[in-house]
Order: sequence, then structure tokens, then C-alpha cells
Amino acid sequence: MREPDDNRSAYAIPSSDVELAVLLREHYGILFHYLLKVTMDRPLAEDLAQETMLKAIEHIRRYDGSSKFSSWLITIGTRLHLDLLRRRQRERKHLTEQARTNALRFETLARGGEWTDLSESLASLPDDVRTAIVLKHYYGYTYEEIGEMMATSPGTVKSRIHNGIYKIREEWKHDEANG
Amino acid sequence: MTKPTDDGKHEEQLIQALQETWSNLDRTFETELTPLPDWEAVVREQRRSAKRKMWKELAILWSVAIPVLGMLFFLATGMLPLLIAVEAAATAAAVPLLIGEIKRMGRTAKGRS
Repeated sequence: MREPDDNRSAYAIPSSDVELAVLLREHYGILFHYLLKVTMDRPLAEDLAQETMLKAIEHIRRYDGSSKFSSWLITIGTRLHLDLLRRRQRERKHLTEQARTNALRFETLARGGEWTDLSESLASLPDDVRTAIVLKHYYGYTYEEIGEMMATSPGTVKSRIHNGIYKIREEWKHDEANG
Repeated sequence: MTKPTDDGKHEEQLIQALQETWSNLDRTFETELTPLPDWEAVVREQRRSAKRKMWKELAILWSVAIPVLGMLFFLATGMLPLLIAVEAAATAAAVPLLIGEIKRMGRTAKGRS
């Protein structure tokens, strides 16, 4: 299990503006990298990270230290992302998935990174499926924790992950067979 | 047909490959943190803004609640007929004023056209 790197401030409840600022600054990287994995869209990940930080400041009293601070931020970010997807579906205003994937692929390669067939498979998944897979297989959350974050049942989470992994696996097998 | 253990192993390899893909993405898009004073300024401003929003919402709530509570008070103390009489008198006084104002607006509009 790969937990977010929380160190000593994992469960700290900030009692002043300075403490809160320190905590948010420490966790920005974790939050941004999580949002980048689930959105596969760098500008969107940055916007959502900023919005999450502002929401966290506004609702800091709701954080009681019972979970890691990073988990709390991830929950806020996840819900903001899912709300945005619902709005986009209603307004029918969104770039095609392919356009977003192309943008990220281009930027990854421009920065000297690697863009593999697996990256392509991940990008082609529905956002909610990809989110569940990232939370389970990178951050190691349980189905119940993921259900809580995504405001859905553990059964739905399990089903999304199973279907998503199945789809990726079939494409991966196909790619390996073709060399 | 692949054995269940082969399937499980294959899935394990896939998960490892996915984790590597995600780690590569993190390394490619490293973040640069802005200085702490900037973060402190954001926290202070956001808290101030949240407080202003809260007071505004409270003001709206009380502007609706006070008249409703007032009505209930009059009702409870049996002074409702008095309240109705006062409101009727105020309406009676306001209607001629309103008619006058509408006529004046009509004259102004005619003048412009």
C-alpha cells in the first residue's frame, strides 16, 4: 500500500492561521498529484487543487483528526471533481476526452516523461472508474473508505474497480501479444 | 485457458505496472511550492471572506425571521386584529400614492416618445 506521505502532521488539527498555512503547503503536492492521476488533465488538476485548498480553509472546523489530513483533502477534492463532472454532463460543455488526453500526452512528452499504452488505457477510462482505481491501487484505501470519499456504496466502488481493471487488462494483454 | 493463479499473477503485474505509471506521472509533474507567507495570506483572506459571507446570510435570515416572529407574537397576544387594522390603514394610504406614481411614469414615457 502506498500511503500519501503525511509524516508528523498526519492527524494534526491546526489551531492558528499559520499552522493551517503550513499544513496546506505541506500537502499541496500530495493533493495535486492525486488530482492529476484522476483527472489526467493538468490545468484542471491545478484548478481543483486550489479550490480544494479554499474549501479546506473554509471548513477546517469540520476536520477532527480522526482521519489523515491528506485523506480529508482527497475527499474534498474527489467530491469537487465529481460535482464538476455532473455539471459538465448537464451543461454538455466539455472538451472531448481525446482532446484532454492529447494535451496531457503532449505535455508529458515535452517534459521528458514517459507516455505508455497503460497511460492511454487509464486516460480512456470514465473519470469515476479511474478515481476508484487510483484510490484503491495507488493510495491503498479500502472499498468502504473509497465509498465514503465518492459518496457511493462500497459495492459500486468494487464493481467500478473490477470493470476498470478488466478493461485495462484486456488492452494490456492485447498490446503485449502484438509486441 | 489460464489457471486462476496465472490470472492472479497477471493482475499483480498489471497493478505494479499501473503504480509505476502513476509514479512516473508524479515525477514528470513535480510541484514547486510558493513561499509560506503567500499561503498565510490566502488563509487569512479566505477566512475573512467566509466570515463576511456568514454575516450576510445571517442578516438575510433575520430579515425574514423577525417579521414572521412578529406576526406570531401578535397572534399569540391576541393583538392580531390591531396589526391587521394598522396594515389596512397603511395600504389605504399607499394606494393613492401608487396610482399617482403610475400616472406620473405614464406621462413621462409619453413625453419621451
